[in-house]
Amino acid sequence: MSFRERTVGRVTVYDVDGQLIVGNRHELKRMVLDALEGGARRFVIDFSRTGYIDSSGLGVLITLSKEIRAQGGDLRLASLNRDLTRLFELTKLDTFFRICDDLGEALEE
Amino acid sequence: MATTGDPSLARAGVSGTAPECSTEVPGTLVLHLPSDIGAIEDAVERAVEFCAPAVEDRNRLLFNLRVGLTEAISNAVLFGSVDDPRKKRVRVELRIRPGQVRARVSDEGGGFDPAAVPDPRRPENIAKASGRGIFLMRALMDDVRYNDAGNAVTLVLRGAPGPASPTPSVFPDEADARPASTQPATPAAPHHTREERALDAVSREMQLAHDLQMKLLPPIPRVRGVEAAARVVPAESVGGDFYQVLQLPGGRTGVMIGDVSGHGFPAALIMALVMSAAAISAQQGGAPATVLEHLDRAIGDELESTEMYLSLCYCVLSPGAPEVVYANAGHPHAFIVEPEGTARRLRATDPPMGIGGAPFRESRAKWAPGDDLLLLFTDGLSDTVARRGRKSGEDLVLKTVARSHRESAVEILDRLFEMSAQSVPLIPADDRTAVVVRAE
Repeated sequence: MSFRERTVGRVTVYDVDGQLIVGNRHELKRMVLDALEGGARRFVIDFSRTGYIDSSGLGVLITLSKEIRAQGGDLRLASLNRDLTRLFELTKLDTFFRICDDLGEALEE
Repeated sequence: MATTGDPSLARAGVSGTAPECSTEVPGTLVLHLPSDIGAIEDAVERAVEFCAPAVEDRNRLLFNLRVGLTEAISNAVLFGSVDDPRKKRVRVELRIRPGQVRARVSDEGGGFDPAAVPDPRRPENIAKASGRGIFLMRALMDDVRYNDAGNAVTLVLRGAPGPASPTPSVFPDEADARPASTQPATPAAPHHTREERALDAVSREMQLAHDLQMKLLPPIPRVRGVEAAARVVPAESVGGDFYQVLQLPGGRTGVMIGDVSGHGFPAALIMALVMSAAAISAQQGGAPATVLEHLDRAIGDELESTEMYLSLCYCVLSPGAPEVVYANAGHPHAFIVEPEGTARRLRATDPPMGIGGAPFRESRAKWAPGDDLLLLFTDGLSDTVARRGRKSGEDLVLKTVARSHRESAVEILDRLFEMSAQSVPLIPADDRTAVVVRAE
């Protein structure tokens, strides 16, 4: 299982273990959309245990961000390591997402 | 990953099981995999495991090589066999020597046509999501080359010989990360001339797509005080260019241009969806950003499931108003051309649809009614006129419009398309589309 879902207060947190890529992105998408449908509105995806993300992984994060925003919710990305941070910067997606240094910051109101 | 432990190293099994495919030549591994998304990750891990001895820098092995291979294999799986699902095999050949990995990923499809892709170094193209996969490959690998047929890509990663640097550079400088020539950076649609076997089916599809595209393009409405002309010259491999000139409530005029990233029937279908949704939304009098939001809702799922993207610029002109109101989702070529020839770019207000999403922003640009020209065109036009030694064909298009500014909109289009017909293009033709509007 690449993704673990847990709840911290009112925030649904996902840990991405290993990688978010073309082969498993739909699994994360399904989990988050199910939670959204179930009424969750605040989401954090934590990448502290993530090795790499490919272009389709970036794509699914964009989709989720849009879906969550459309429901009046909020998605934050946390704990991107240096490589992943550069990935977001290079693709200019750092302007698209709210990116937090760590989980603590992501959980703040 | 650079500073913390390496959770993914253990997962990768770098020192674990040997790859199933034995190596016939020392330092060489060949993997054959089915064209199946589920097979990608395993192939990447086998490749990384095999390459580990050649790459001492763990970051470059576990990040650069993994992402680069994932993109190359994904492209082969996703695009390499669309013309004939039976031809679904992807071959990955790895050759290692100390300090260097060479990976060749090939599929049995008709291939990409890398040259049909606009120059990705242009700032307005950086956010085009259709280019992200190959863009990442180029950013992360030391060399990326396609074969002539466009169905094999060779990646080279140099392994930073010596002890791994504690703060290895994953990416080269951004300027270096962009291709140094007119090399491709976006996955283009599959090329469909190489395999004779697939030709019949493909040409049937192309004909259908072509017919659909042409049928959908609406006539230009006659609006008092507005002179508009628009033209699409479809390429042999039909793209997804389209335009619309719409008569809106309150005597206003809506002008739209769009370019779907893919080619063939899927692109034509997206285009059909966009055009009908746009016409409905625009004719309800929606502001440009609102129209884009409606469109995004209407086609967002379709774009995602087909992995396509759409650049689209929508402008609204009001009679006598000194401004153009517009929303531009990643469309590179939208201009107001003043009578003395100065061209002002209507910059993108958002990334292309399929990469960005709601909410969409809106912007305004100064407009001299009766004097200024609104000029929208697609890459296909500027790329055809691009000549060796010139930065882009865009300058040529703008110069031509500036010179013929006083002529009618139709005559201006004639000049643009004459020029593009005379040019010997640097890269194969894509759809060429232009819209010219003058309004009082």
